[in-house]
Order: sequence, then structure tokens, then C-alpha cells
Amino acid sequence: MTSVEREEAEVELEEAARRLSIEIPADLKGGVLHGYRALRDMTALLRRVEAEQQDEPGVRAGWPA
Amino acid sequence: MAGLRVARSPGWYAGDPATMPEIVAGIERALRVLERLGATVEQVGLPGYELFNACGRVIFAAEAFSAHERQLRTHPRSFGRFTYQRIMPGAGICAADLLRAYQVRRHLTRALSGTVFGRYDVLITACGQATAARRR
Repeated sequence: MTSVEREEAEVELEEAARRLSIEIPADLKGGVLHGYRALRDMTALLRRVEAEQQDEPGVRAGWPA
Repeated sequence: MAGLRVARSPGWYAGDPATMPEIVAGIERALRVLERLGATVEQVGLPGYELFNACGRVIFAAEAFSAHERQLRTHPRSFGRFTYQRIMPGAGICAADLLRAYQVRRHLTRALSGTVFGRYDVLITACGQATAARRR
């Protein structure tokens, strides 16, 4: 993850928390952000799987190695 | 044990450097015992473990956040540190990503049903990457 992506993730999380009126305790924020960045990587992986499945018919086609 | 059809999926754990060698060796030893007792053991290819992990983590975080949203807002200290930091990231998961995780989960379920449980009685794999801690 690049430094830009790390900053983007932080902004996204802060905006989500603000929209939901949730204040993340300062001492827990680092861990929450770490978890959110990991989730971002995972959702990106799941998006790639879907794109490949659209190109390749069949349940098992297109899985990343 | 005779006639039991056993699938094995070392691709899920054996190549991962985080898996202790004792785990791989222990599973192989157990499989040889099963074969000796009459089971048929075959290797199967499955979608990568990271996909199962990603589905589980994304769905868990989104659903757990939804279930505990009010408490996270009003009493964040009522959660343990680890639990809070596991659940709270779910606040940032959008609907499209959650639906995609459900969609991939359906595909993974079909892959498991077709590749493994349609042809075998049991799948043997690692449920942890480390051995139990020794008591000092």
C-alpha cells in the first residue's frame, strides 16, 4: 500500500465515522486504521475476482493463484 | 475407515511461511495413517485461501459493525481493545463491497461443494498454523 493509499484510507475511515456520529477513542484509532487498511486490500482482491469471473465462465475459472 | 474418501489441500497452508513445519508434517503423518487403514486420499485444487479469508473478514466486519453500531457509538469502552479494533473498521465497508463479498462467498461455496464434498467424505486441512503453546 502506497503512502497516498494509506492517507486515503485514513480519510475514508474518518469520514465514515463522522457520518455515523462515532468518535473513535484516540488510543484505539491506530489499530482501527490498521484493520481498515487490511479490509481495503481484501475488498480490492474480491473486486478483482469478480472481474475475472465475468471474463471466464465457470465457477473455478479466474481464481488468482 | 475403509472406503472413506479423503481430500487434502496442502495448497492452503503448506507453502505459507507462517505455517510451522510441524503442522505440515503432522497432517501428512495423519493422512498416511488414514491410508493405511483403508481410506482413499487424494489432493484437490481449491480457490486460494486468501479469498476465503477476505470473504470472512469483510463479511464479519460489516455484519458485526451493523449489530453493534449503537454500542460502538455510545459506549466504545465497553468493548475490549482487540474486539473494538476488529469491529470498528466495518464502518468503512460500502454496500457494494459487502454484496461482492456475498457473491464471492457463493462461488467459493459452490467450488467447495463441487470439488470436494460432491466427491469426498471429508476435507483434511490445517485449522491453525502453529502448534499448541508448551507449558513452561
